[in-house]
Amino acid sequence: MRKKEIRSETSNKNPTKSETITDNDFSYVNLDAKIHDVKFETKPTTFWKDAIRRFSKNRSSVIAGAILAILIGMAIIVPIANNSNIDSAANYASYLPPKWFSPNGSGFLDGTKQVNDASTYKTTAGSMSEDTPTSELLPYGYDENAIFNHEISYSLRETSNATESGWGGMTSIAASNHTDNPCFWSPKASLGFSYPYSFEITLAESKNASLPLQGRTRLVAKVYLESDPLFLPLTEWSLGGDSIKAELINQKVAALSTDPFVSSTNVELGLELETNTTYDPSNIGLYPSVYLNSAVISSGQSTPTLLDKSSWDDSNECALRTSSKVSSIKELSWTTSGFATRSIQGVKYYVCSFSYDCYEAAFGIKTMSLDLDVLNSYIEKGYLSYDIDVGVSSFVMNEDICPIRSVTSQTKNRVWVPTANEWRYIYTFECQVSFYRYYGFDSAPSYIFGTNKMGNDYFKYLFAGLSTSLLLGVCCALINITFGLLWGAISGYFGGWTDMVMERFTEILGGVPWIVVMTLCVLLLGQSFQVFLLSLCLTGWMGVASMTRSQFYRYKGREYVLASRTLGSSDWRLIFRHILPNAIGPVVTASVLIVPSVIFDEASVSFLGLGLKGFKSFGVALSEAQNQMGDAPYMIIFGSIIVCLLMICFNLFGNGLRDAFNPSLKGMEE
Amino acid sequence: MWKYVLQRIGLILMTTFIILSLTFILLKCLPGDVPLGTADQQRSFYEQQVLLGYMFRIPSAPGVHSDYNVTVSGTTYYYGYYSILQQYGTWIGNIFTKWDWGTSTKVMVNVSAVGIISSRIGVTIKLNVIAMLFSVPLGFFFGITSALKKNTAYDNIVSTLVMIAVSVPSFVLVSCLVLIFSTSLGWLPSGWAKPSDPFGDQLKAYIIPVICLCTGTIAGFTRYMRAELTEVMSSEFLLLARTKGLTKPQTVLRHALRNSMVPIIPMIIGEFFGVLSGSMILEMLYNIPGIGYLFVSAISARDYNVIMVDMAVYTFLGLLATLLVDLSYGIVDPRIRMGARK
Repeated sequence: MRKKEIRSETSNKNPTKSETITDNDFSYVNLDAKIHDVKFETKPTTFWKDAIRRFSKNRSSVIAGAILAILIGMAIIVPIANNSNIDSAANYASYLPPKWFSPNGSGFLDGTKQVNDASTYKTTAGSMSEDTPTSELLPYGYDENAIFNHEISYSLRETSNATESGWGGMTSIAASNHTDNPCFWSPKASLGFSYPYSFEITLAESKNASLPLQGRTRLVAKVYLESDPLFLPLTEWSLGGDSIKAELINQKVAALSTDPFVSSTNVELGLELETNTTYDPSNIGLYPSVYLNSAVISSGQSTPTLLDKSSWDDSNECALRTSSKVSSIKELSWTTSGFATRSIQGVKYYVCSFSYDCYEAAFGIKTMSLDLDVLNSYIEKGYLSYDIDVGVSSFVMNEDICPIRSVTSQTKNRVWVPTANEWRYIYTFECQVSFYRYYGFDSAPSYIFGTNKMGNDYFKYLFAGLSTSLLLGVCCALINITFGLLWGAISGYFGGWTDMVMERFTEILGGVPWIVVMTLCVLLLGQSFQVFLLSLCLTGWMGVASMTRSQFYRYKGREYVLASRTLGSSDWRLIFRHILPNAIGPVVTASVLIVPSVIFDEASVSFLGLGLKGFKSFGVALSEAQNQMGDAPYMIIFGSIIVCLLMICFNLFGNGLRDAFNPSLKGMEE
Repeated sequence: MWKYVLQRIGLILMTTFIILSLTFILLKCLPGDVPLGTADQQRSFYEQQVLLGYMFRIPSAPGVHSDYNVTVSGTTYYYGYYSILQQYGTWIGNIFTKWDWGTSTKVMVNVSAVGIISSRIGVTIKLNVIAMLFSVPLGFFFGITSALKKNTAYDNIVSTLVMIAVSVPSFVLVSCLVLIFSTSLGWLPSGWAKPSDPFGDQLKAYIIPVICLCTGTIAGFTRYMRAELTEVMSSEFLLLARTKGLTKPQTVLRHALRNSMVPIIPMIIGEFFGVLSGSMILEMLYNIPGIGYLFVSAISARDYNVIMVDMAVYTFLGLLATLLVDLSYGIVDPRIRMGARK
């Protein structure tokens, strides 16, 4: 062979010349030197060291690992270090938005929220108009001191409902059939007919002109004599116009009376709308209607009568009279009769928008009425000193933790105490109370993730939940790996019938969707930690098992296994000393991903309403945030950020580990 | 081949049977059903249970008491449950002889459970088919383009997005989309449309669920497609194709894509069934009247018959998916022979 090669080489060089090489032509190069393997110049490395080196080169995985470490560290530290209360309700702090900075009005992480179009109420009495100084209007249901910078912007709205904060508008009277004339009546008043009344109704002409069917209108008086009321027309029927005016004098009513000596009569004044003449079968469903701007009845007397007072030029106010709970106002209300529908349109009102400092509202200084017992309890603690006999001026605050910052007024009421059968004095103190001190905080709290409905710090709530879920994940991973490795090892090592039976078993169990297993377990056994662990493990180990099984199929035929077997090793020794250590790498890295999948599964089940009970779990915290999304969107935002960060980091970290342990799989997914 | 298919189908039916039997027995261990509704409805429920053979009448006598009783026009009727194994036998018999899976007790009182499921499954399937119609082409597109532009900025961006999309749980995605597009911007509805709503609103109601269903599958397809195509692109036969003079587009279309399809097609089937059973939370959060939401409401109301049928559907779908995936491997790639001995 060698000869041939050399010959061919030489023949290439010199085709004509032939040469024969004998053994003597060869000589040993270094017969005296010892021949041995050259020692590696690089450092020796182990499987694990190599993997770590490869992993550390994967920048994204290292970063993911670092973030993961921070998150896990927080899950352990936060529930211990943060002393916020998350176990009982603190309703005063419900739904506080996240606060990272001092309030700046931007609404971004500064503890303020933007309130848009809140309804208003008047602070000063008097009727409203468009040029009402807006400073007199305040948002309803909000603490005015907590409005950021006291900046409120107002905008004008229109509605077709009577509202307390509104004004103006038009009253509409419409017929609802074509046979009865609808009327709109003033309150019933007893008239002394020694003086004439003027009665004027202003019509909203511009509005009326656009109606599909106008009605002819006239003013009437409904006179109550001994028997049935008499209808006394005061004007002729008229169509449209700006106003209708009538004079009502004693003689006119008296003329109707059968009793000449009548001196006072009950009368309602009103507007009548004619329907029957305008009925047209082609306009079925359209009945005449009319819009009114005001109704003024005037007796010209110095002391206004009931009818004088019932005059109105503000439809909103007139409509509010009907629903008023004050009887002196309610008796001034106007009513409809016949088949009339009364409605109101174009009522103007202001809504306000502002930036609301929720922390100030919950924890700021507010006025509060306290009784003597509470005040005494603070005096006993030595927080303040106060002399009831001297009064407000004697207030001295001794310690800064005192919730009562000042006493503004002191009232004393004599109250009959039936049990003691004597009169006693009850003191009430109007105090300026600092609420965070009142609730027992040393300084005004600020929650970086805000608070939930119960007023618990969501930051701590979330991370306390995360620690439970991580614990669940780790326990689950440990059990799954242990059991899965054993199962897979036995199934893969022995093969044959054992493998067949075990495979069928996993196939059947694996066929059930995990969510079904989980819900069944939870329904049967309750929503406790152990049940969750059990149900997650029931389906979780099969992945590990099948992976171990295929690893065993790969390694059990290797020469070193054969060598060990020929030396008489037991199955036990082969499995655990020889094959498993070689096969375990990918299994362990894949099981890193068990933890996020457990967190995901737990969260999913919580979303189905079967979450852990008695524990703060991550899934429960998330599903609560989801349910309260309308009230507090920040909770779901923070929860989502954390869960996404966790999942992404786990996946990146797990992929990095897999690539490091098994470079041939690099770039492959799953 | 056919023998293998039949064997597998037999196995599936057996597995479904075992799982459902276990589920039935476990569910029957829970406290029994007390139906809602009017006294007449309750009585008719009990009577039907008697007719189906799960319960028996207890003659009314002094001292007799049962938790399962109903008073109709002054007369109280008492009922009792047979033992679990007896009920199981009856249940099996009813299914095999009459295809009777029982009636709903809480969700829709006295309506047959199969009827409820079949009236709801349409929405779920429709939604998932639409989601698949979007996710397959998009996933292919992103996967192919990023494989062809491997290790460029585009590839990196796509890979990062895929990583995020795979990691973000769907319930988080629903919440975020609803928060952005419904609550803040008001462009899309925050829940499923009623049948009476105009067509435009109905269409709008599909957008958020379809996006949520798509995101995961698009990311899945993209990363698979990219991995497969990258592997094929670096193989020798493609080099040969180039050396014999084919242009790059020709090699990609004729050789690379075809070969990389082999594992992708089974994956589409798998994803479809996976998504079908995985949209439970989405349906719940978005009020979609599909079988997922039905399952959730049946669980929270403890309506066992509906849970059973729903579970049967999910289990069967899951098993069917594995069979179809296995079969499609053989159909797509002739080198793989089904049921061949290793």
